[in-house]
Order: sequence, then structure tokens, then C-alpha cells
Amino acid sequence: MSDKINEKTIEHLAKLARIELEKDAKKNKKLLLDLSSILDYFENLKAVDTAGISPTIGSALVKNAYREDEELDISNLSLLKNQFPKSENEYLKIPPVFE
Amino acid sequence: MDTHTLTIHSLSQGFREKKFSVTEITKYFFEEIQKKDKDIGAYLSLMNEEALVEAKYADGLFHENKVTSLLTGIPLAIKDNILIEGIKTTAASKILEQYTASYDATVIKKLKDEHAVFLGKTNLDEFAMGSSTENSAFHITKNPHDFTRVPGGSSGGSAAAVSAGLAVGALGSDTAGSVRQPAALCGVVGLKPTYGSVSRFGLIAMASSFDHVGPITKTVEDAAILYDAIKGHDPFDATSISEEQLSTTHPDPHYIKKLVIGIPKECFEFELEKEVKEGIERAMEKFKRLGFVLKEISLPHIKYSVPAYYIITPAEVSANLARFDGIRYGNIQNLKSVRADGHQILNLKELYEKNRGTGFGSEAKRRILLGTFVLSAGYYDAYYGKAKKIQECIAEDFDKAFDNKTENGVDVMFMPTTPTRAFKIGEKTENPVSMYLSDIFTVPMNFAGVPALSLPVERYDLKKKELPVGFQLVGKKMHERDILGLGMYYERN
Repeated sequence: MSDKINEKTIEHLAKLARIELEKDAKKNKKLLLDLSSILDYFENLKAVDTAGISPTIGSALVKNAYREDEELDISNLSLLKNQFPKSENEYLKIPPVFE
Repeated sequence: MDTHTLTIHSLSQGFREKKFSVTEITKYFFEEIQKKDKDIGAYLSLMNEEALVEAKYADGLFHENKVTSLLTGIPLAIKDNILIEGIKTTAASKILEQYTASYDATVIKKLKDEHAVFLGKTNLDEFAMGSSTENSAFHITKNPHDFTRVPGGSSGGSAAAVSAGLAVGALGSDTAGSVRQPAALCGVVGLKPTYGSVSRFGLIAMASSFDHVGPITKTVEDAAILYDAIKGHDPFDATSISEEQLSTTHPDPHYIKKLVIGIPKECFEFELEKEVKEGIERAMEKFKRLGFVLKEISLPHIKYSVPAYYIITPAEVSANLARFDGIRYGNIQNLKSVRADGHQILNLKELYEKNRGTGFGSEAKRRILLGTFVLSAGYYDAYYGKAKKIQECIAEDFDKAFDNKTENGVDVMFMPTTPTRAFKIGEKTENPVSMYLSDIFTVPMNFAGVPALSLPVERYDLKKKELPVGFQLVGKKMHERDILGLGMYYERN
């Protein structure tokens, strides 16, 4: 098993990614095993000599796509806003950022 | 009527000759879905009302002889990660179970302009992450050829719907093979176009540098018809290529007959299931019999495409899925407002953690955490940086093989689509790496951005219960006409 990650790393990553881990210890063990086996699998890449190769910046055939920064008409704004769980006087409502 | 044999071409002819109306056909398809989809599970939601309104409108156009498009009145299925305004779009995730799309994807807008009829939204692996459609948060989809097996994925619902005659054609998305692999496993045709030729505006993003929208159909000709309708420049997708760069899709047969086909020897170094190997050999024999030149070529780095893919993709996933907070796109039903440790949720951060912890399935979480890891300080060069260099090596392999200035250059490549036929439900769910390896022959083209078409070796009759084998034709960038033309030639001879 890969020694690159352990329970502590997963907790840290979950915190960074804003994901609450489950309480189920068995499920979390499986998550650790899965991630370890995937990281082990990445070891295959070490066999490739990539000295002097520049990384791909994307396979797009366009270099830059510029456009004017114009105001666009959104005809169905209400459809978008109504999905928000809570609102008050035209404002969308969320819990406090700081308690 | 047998919905299995209907193609866009034959159905459109029937409408023109007034053999049946669009409304009759639409109702007939909904009856078929009602009867058969409880066993297959191709659809997540149906659009009965909207479809019948559009069908009536299309009938009016046929009545007034105003129809100019082959797609008018054609019943299509749409993968549920593509937005249709006013219709629920879930990406098969619990975190989007309440989300209704507030605009049309560009591909949808284009199909609406042709007055195609959308029957419903099809099942997928959550956020298109998977190769079996078993990662859907709602239900699994079964292979119409054998209900104990997977249809492939992630566009498994779209491929199963077309294969079972529950839609004439469908749209899917392909990030590592998600159009081509399920098409091969279900015995139908799937096209991943050139990167940038079809807009992704309104496709829920998974890994933007590899995401494509592509058609799934019964014949190569139908795939060409759908591709023609959805391609084109779109200012809302920054990677979209200009109209002048796009290729035509209908070449003349004299041109097709001159194409030189390359066979990458590395494909046969992987372990192929016996029946896949035999099917691939039959298809190669057929090309030889038809007079084509087959040349051995080399793509030395393709064996590294899967590990490199599972570094780059999670990295992009961790960024793309950051927007799903369980607030902006509808909330999760019956969510308890306490944390796992029993404390009351007090602030926004805790609500995010709760929503994302509850709303994402295991594969989505795995990829988000993995992506967060490979991008973190100290690991970036070893993982992400290395993988992007390997992507470059793979793209160069394709450039070299397609270089006509050299003696060994070829026009088109021939490859298997998958190493095995459809596997059993549950067979690979416990081992993520074995599931990832289902994409070994399809990932390299997403790395290189070149177009690839998967088509069945022969026609597979559902009644015979035979498991289909598919193969791929890979073309140069923007040379869809080569692979579609060659594919049509293969299926007609």
C-alpha cells in the first residue's frame, strides 16, 4: 500500500475540498485503500523519460478567444433564482460566513 | 413497426412520404419506453408533454412541405448532463436532484432549430465519471443485449436507449471514451468529434480539457447527420474552433478508397478477450477484402494514457465540481442540519461540507480528493506536471503516425474500442483501477484531441443475445469526413 497518504491526509484533503467524511470507519478505510491503490498505479509513469518535454497546454486549436465584455440579456433569471433554497426581499439568503 | 431498425434516414423518409405522422411515431416511442424501460433503465426522466408539442409542430411543417432538415420530428434521447431549458438536469447526482436547467446547451439549441423531438434525459455515471453507469445516484442501466451486464458508460443510458429501440439517436458526452465505450458494448455507433468542433456550452463540465459532446446512433450515416447538426463555432465555448476550420462530412467514395489505414501494434500487446480479438480480426479482414492498405504503426506511449488521465482528470474535477455547494443549483432533500458529530450546522462552511459530503457519490468524492492531492504543494510536479508531459508524448505519437510527409504516415487508424465485451454488473465496482482500464483504447484520443468513431463489427440482433464487439476509426484533427466516410463504406459493404 502506498505510504503517501494515511487517515490524516484524507481528513486534511476533505477539509480543503469542503467534504464532510462519513462516520462509518469501514467506508473511510475503503476510501483510503482505493486512493492508495490509485496512487500506486501512478508509479507506472515514472518509467517514462519526459526530460525536455514541455507539458501540453490543452489540445485546443485556438490560442486565445477574446470577446467584448458586453452585458447579456438573461430572459429567464427567475428560473435561476427560484432554485435558491432561501430568499428575502429579492436577496438570496445563506447561513452566516462567520458565526 | 420495429423501432430497432428505424434510422434517422428511414424515419425522415417515412415522414416525407406521409407513411406516418411525427405525433404517431412519438407516441409509439413512449409506449415502447413504457413497456421496456422498466427492465433496462435507460431514462432518468421523460419529456412526454414537451415532445408531443414539438411533434405537433413538426407535423405542421411536413403538412406545409416546409421541412428542410433530416432531423425534423426525429425522436432523440439526451444524456442528463446536457442542459434543456425548463427540464430537470441531474447529471445523475444527488447534489443536483432538484436542479432545473435555466438555459439550453448550444447543441440543444441547434437541435431545436431543426425541430428534433426530445423524448427524455438518459442515465449516466454521476457527473459522467465511470465506465458502467453503475455510479448513477438513482438507478443502474442494463445492457439491452444481456440484462445481467452493464451497458458501459458513462453515456450508458443513451447507448442502451438507442440499442433497445427506445430512441432513434442520442447525445452523449465523451471525456475518456464515454460515448464510444458504451456504443461498443451496446452494439451501436458513437462519435467523439475533434476537440473544439462541437460546443460544450451547457454541458455540465467534468474535465474541461477532455470533455466532448458526441452522437450515439444506429448507423454511421446517422452519426454524420447528427454531427453535422451539432457542430459549429460557439462564442460561449472558448475552445470552439472557427467555421472555416470545420470539415465537411460527406466525402466521395473515390477519396475514401485511397485512405491508408494504420494499425497501432501496441493495441495487440494488451490482453484482449478472445471474442474481441476475433471480432477485431474479422473487421481487419473485411477492410483488406475491400481493397484497403493496412499498415502497422506505433503509438509507444498509449499504455501510459490511463494513469496520466487519472491524474489530470481528478485535478480538473476538483476545480469544476467546486461550484456544487447544494445551494446554487437547488438543495438536497431531507438534509439534516447537523454535522456528522451531532453538532448543529452554524455557518456556510459547515453547510458546504454537509451538502457535498451527502450530495456526492463515492467516485465523485474519490476524484475530488485525488485531484486536491495531486495539485497540492509538493506533489504538483510529481503528478500533474508529469502527467501533462505524458499527454504531450501521446499527442506527438499521433502527430508522427498521421504525418503524410513521411513514408510511414497513415490517414486513419484502426483500433479496438474496448479490451472486453460488456462485463457483469458489479464485476468492477470494488476495484477502481480495473474499471479505469476499460478506457485504455479510448483515452488516448481525448489526450490528442483527434476524432474517433466506434462502430460495431457486424449488426447485432437483440434477439440473438450475442454480446457486441466494436472497433474504432481514428482520424486527423477535423477530418471527421475520413472516419465517417470509411465507416459508412464498411457498414454498406
